[in-house]
Amino acid sequence: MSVTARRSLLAMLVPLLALVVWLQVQLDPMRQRYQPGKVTNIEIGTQFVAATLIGLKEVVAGLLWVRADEFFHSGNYAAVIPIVRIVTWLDPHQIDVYDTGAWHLSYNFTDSQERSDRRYIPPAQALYREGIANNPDIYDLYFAQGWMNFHKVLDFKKAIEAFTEANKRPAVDPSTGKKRMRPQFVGHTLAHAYRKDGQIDRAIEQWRQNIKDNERYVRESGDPGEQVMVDVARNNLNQLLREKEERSRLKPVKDAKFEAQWQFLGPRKFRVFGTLDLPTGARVRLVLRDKDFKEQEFQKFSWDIDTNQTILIDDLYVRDGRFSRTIDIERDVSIYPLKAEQYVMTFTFNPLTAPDFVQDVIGFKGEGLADQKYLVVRNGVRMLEKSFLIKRNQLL
Amino acid sequence: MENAIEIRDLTKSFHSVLTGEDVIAVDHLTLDIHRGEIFGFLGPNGAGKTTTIKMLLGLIFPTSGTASILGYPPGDIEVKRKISYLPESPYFYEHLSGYEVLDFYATLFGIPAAERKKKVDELLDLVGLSDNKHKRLRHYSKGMLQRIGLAQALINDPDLLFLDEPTSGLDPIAHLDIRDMILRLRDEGRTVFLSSHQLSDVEMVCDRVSILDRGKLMRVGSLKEMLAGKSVEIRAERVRDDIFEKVKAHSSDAFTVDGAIRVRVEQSFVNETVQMIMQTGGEITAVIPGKRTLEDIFIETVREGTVS
Amino acid sequence: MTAWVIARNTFGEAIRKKILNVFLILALGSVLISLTFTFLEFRQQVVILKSFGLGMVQFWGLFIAIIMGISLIPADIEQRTIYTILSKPVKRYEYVLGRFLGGAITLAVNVALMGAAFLLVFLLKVNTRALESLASLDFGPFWTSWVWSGEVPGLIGGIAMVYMKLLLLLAVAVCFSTFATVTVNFFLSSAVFIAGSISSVTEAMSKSPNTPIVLRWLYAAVHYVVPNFGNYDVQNPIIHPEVPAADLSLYMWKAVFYGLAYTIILLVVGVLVFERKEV
Repeated sequence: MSVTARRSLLAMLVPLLALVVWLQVQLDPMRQRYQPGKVTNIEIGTQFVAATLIGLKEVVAGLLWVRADEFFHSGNYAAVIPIVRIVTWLDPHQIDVYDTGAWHLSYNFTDSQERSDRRYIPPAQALYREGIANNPDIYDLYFAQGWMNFHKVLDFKKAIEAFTEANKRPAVDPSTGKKRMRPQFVGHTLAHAYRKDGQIDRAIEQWRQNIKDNERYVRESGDPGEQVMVDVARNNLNQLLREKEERSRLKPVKDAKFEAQWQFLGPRKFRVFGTLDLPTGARVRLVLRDKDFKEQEFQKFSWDIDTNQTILIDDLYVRDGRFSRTIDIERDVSIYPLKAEQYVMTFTFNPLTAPDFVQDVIGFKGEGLADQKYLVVRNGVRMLEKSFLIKRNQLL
Repeated sequence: MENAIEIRDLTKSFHSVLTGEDVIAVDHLTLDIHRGEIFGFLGPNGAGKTTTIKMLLGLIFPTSGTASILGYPPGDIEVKRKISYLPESPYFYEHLSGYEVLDFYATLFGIPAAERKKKVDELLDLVGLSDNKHKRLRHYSKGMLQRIGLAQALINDPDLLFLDEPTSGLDPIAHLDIRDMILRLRDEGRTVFLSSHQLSDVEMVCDRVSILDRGKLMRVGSLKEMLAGKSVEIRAERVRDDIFEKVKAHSSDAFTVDGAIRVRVEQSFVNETVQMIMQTGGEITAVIPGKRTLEDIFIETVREGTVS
Repeated sequence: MTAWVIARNTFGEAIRKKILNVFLILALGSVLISLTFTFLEFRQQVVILKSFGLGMVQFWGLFIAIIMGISLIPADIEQRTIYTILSKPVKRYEYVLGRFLGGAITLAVNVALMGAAFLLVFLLKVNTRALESLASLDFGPFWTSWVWSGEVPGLIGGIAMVYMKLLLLLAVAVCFSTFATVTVNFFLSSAVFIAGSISSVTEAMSKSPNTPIVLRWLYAAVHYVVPNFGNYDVQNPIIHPEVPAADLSLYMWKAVFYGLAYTIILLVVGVLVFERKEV
């Protein structure tokens, strides 16, 4: 090769290198969109970085999740949550992991009497928020988040917010990878949430919308089996209209004679009891918490909860106008550390969460309740509530 | 142009990583190879023969000095069309058959397909591999590989062939075949640069030879001149020991076998020697005009090199 | 033209290489294994299958690329076949180009075979139901329920990205093989691959205010100058087609362009070194 040829080849390297660097500068900001697991916020072992070298990040994530499943089945719930963190870091689009992880957090850490540890609700919410931020275009995690608030937390406003978002978004067919209509129950659940929140007119409106949506779905999917959802929506709408009509005539005449009391039985053991003259199946919610209890806030997902907090929530079933339960938290010191000096114990009867046959008596929002004692009106809902301020030594 | 190859002061030194010293493989070699001759390039192992050939082919580059091959610098693409090379114990792509490997090399010369087929078949026939042409090279014997090597060296009708130890490791018959082929190449007007330490081959085919030792050119000349010696071999029987000792002092080579002696003496000393033996009762059995073998010259040269 | 002749021959040689075929068989086997993933939800199974399949194509492809890349030229020198080639009218750059091109074709065929096996396994997986109907010898439901997944083009794109990554690695190994021994080259090319694969680390470190300034430059140099293999790790949006990946195809084209430009650089360097190499 001639000297001139060598020189020109060498000279060619300069613009080529410049081109490569320029392309890299172009690629960098785009690449981050497609590559999960930002290194800047590594909180976990770098051994997982190794997996990224050979392009197996998602495989590692998947296999770790299988391992987590084994932990779950062996009852080792605490081992599951750190894996959730790693898996969602390796692959932030494995939505089932967020869902299952949050479900573990909110349901599966329970005390010896099967009450879940409420301190894990904020981490679960944070995990859903993160999952949604990473997967904002499909209905799945909005719905899951809504369901936790609807079913576990009983925060219907939050549930409505999440279900509304879910009800705007599509699902994805795992076989084809294509977007498709979300399941028809999403709109139904939203209507239920409106109703639970006492927004009866919005619920009615939503049922009407559901009927239209479900009918369209039957037409478009060509699946006559989906007709059942239309029928369900019609039934629910009719029943709600009937209930609304009937309950609108309710006058505050029913005195439920609500009364609640507690009794020390021994260290960390007490009995709660009282009366509520409503049909069997009504529930009174018991909350025992630090006087200064404030729900922890998590900017981003972490399972590092404040272990000094105490919050106990239980539902007391009313039978023949009475309720009574022995709360024994002697074996659950880690869940209920009782470290604060003062506690608030609250008994609440909330008509919104009452079953239909109870609402038949007192209305959606307690319109029929005639109790004077303990009546509080919150957001237009007439509830019954009695609280005790308790000192630490009264419980120990 | 008279010379096929002109080598001037060609030097190659390698830097040895082990000793940290420069090893001179070829030391200021100056040599001309005439067109149309078979040139024997001799030297013991490690003398720098292969290094020289590789420099002439442009596979490695001289530290200093120049060479011109058919008027071109080594490695020039044009000259590569006109020359060919058979390396020592050549290896070829073993996944190919004899036919395919020759076809591959022919393609490198840009020979068109139709011509290629004819040419390859001819060459296979020439080297006697027609029956095995579809066999993979991995199943070829060493002799067969050597033949393929020769065939690939002929593919472009070269004006100049570099053959590096073309007969090494061959059975006697194959040996002869290749020797004949080299002679035929010369008769066709080609120049053959034959590097070898198989002295008998060189002796039989070469026009001129050179002897290289430790990178230095020790001797170069026509084989005829080099071999034409002036010594005479005298054979005799019943030679007295003291006479044998005397004769031996004048002889380049002397030994006794069962009372018979063989001595090699200079022409000028023949009469004196014969007389001495006969006068002391010895019997001359033969007086043979001496001819030196290439081996003599080779050993002599290498020995001289060692002494100096 | 001469380069092409050498490339063709190189391909013929490579596909007969036992070790490369062993890797290919291992790759096909491991892709098939993913059919046995039947834990968790179906969605999860499909995600893992896709991820595993693409990962395996890449994993085994890495072995094929690096082992081929480090040996393409040195093997010829070692076995002295190069003497008979370079003494023919073959320019040295044509030889380097031909060897590389042959390797690239071999790599393409290997990746295509592995990729095809992966796509087949994927289609079988998503058509589990259709296949079950086959078991009952009822072909009607089979045809109606069989889906030609819309993900296939995306997955092919993913396989193409894997190929570009491997091609770049091949070019690195071939370039280094013009001056490094096979063993040294194996570690050298592997090291470059690792350094070039942790793009997100090198990028973050080069921009982090916590990094000392000299190290920042070093990271930036690694990030911009070492071939950036991390550019081709776009399997996540491909595995999750529901996630909107804005401008993904534009990105992929740019990454291909980057890879080709870098491959040219490596080949030019390789040629310049090889021109002066004593064989």
